[in-house]
Amino acid sequence: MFAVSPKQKRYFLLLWMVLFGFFTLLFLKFYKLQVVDYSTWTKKADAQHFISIRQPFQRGKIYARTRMNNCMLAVEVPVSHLYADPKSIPAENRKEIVASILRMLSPTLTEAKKLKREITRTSRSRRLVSWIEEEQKRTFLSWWRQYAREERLPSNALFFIQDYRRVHPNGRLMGQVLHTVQERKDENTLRSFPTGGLELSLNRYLEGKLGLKRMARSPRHLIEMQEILEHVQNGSDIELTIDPVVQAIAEEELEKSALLYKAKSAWAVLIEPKTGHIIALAQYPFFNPDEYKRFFIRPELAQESKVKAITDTNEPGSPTKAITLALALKANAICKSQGKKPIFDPFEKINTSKGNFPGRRKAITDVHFHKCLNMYMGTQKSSNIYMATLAGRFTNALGDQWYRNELTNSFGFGQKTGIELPGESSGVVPLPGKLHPNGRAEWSKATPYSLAMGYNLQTTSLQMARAFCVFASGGYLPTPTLIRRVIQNDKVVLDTSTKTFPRVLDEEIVATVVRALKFVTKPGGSAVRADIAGFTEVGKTGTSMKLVGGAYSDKRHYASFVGFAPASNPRFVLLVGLDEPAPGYVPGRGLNHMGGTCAAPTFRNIAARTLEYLGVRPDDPFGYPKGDPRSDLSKADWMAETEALQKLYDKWNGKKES
Amino acid sequence: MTTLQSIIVCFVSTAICFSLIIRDTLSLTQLKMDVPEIEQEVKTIEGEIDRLNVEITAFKSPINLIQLLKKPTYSHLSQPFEEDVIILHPHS
Repeated sequence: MFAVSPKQKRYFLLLWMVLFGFFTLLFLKFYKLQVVDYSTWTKKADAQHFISIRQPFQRGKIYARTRMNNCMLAVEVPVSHLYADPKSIPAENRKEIVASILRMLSPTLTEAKKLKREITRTSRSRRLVSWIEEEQKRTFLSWWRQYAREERLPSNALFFIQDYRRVHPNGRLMGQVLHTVQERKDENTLRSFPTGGLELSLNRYLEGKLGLKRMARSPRHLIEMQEILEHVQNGSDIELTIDPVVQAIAEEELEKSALLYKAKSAWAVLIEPKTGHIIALAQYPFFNPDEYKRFFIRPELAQESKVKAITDTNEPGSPTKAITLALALKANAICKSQGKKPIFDPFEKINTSKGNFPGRRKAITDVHFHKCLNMYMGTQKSSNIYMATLAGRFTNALGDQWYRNELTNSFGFGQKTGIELPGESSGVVPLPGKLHPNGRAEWSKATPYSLAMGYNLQTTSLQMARAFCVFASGGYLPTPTLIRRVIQNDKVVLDTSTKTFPRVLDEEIVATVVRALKFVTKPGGSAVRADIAGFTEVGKTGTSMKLVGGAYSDKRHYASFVGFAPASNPRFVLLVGLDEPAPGYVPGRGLNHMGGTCAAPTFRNIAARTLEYLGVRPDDPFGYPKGDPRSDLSKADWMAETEALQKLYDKWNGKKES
Repeated sequence: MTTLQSIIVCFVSTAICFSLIIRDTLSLTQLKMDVPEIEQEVKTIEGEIDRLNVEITAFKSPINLIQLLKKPTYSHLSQPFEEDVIILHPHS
């Protein structure tokens, strides 16, 4: 055996200690890597081997029911975007790839210009072409797979990312109400940006939740692992109250009228009076959501993308007279209940020859002079003086504040209706005791007389149509809505069909107002052109001068007609508004800008076609125009009453009205 | 049965069990590998259905139907009165 010297022993010990120290350090390092920093390194390794892919959600559908079936209004269809991993594409292949993309995927001009630059960037993911249809994608993929194989390129050097695009199968139908979403989505959240309308106001329902999927990656391929980290939750579907056929009818008639009467724009609101369901909300000029960019580039066109029936206010004019009448009758009932003398009698002969009222510098005038009128004549002839007289009487009896409260609480003026659309205006009703910024009182001595004939207040068309729902529903004030149901995963999460509304007028008062309004469309009335052949109807015209630079303009008017049909069992309340029809006299037509000339026939046309479509049987079988074989005016509805009223009018006024 | 025979039977049955497990695992893996492809196919078909639905809806659009109704070919058509329409509910 070898003898080990003490010196050698020391060397061995030293060597042993060095080795021990080395292995200890190695072990400690190993311990740090595998135990202490385990999660950090696992994360890094996972990040290299796995990739989390976000799964886009499908935005909810918007649809509506016609008489026959469901009609899709806004849906999403799957499309793809082409991406490149420029680092994996050798320079010598780029030219050919770009040429093939241009040939097969027809990119936009901007995309085509950027294509060469994007494919040379030092990035792992660049979007090259957007919104590619499935067929184009298939054609391109079959070329790319073969090309990548032949050129020994990684097959994922070019890849498609799935997405959804909002489309409107009905084109411009109810475009302003629907709106759309912008083409570009948020890069981080993949959420869409709504441009307005229902897409914006119902975004919380329409949006879904992104999904998250884990995939393994190799240098050349992505490997599907079927590991879903978060499930995709698609958006809720919205069923609207709109009937697309009625909407199409209204849009067609509005276009015809706007062109015929040379109006700047025209709109119509149709509401089911008992439920508040909006059946149509039409407007001309149209807004096609699929061409939204064209509208937003030019400010004057952007105006056409808003729903004017809810965003624009006007002094409504004569339709307010129906409300004045109802309030006078309500005041009568209040006085009666308090043991006081009623403020008027509907058959009372009231002097309308002079229009001087307290607080007014200028006397109120009527379109035609009337010596004396009763309530029915005052309504039929749309007398400003008669209505101002009634307003004077009920404000004397019950006060200004009562008048204002009734306008706001019973008829909903001066407050938003709560319709599910952005930008709704609340309108303006003057407040007694409040001052304008210029120091003048909002409510002066003359205000009740102006309010009685529809001036000194600002209302939206929807507010006025809703106010007429009170007469059509027997005294209830509905809340207008565009949504019938919201459905999430086959479950109804919102249903508006069971809503109830407050009674604001007694049935008796409503019946009296309806009787008075029935004279308006009969001979001697201000809107004979609104008479619907074969049906009974109720309504009121309106022509108001617009305020331009603080003064009323006799060149710019807002003409309207609001009414309902059939009179006894109304299926809808319809308001037609024409903004700035050409002013002046047109031979064979009359004063073009008057509501009775331009809005009344539009009301008749929309109402007649809608009633026919809804399958409503005519309730006035003899009420057809002269010359029609079905016409028999002696038997037609409300003709006997109209003739009797005319005789009384002639007797009181000593002449036949021209 | 001798001990040796028992051991042989045990080995054979274990081998059979293992081979069955491996076979089933393989077929399961094969199915798992097929899933993404089938899923993609289903998605493509669903997408195609959506696209066709859009085309059908565009054809059945009220604007289009109203225009068609104005043609002499369809002038004989009229809307039925609501009381003449009988709706058959599938569950009644």
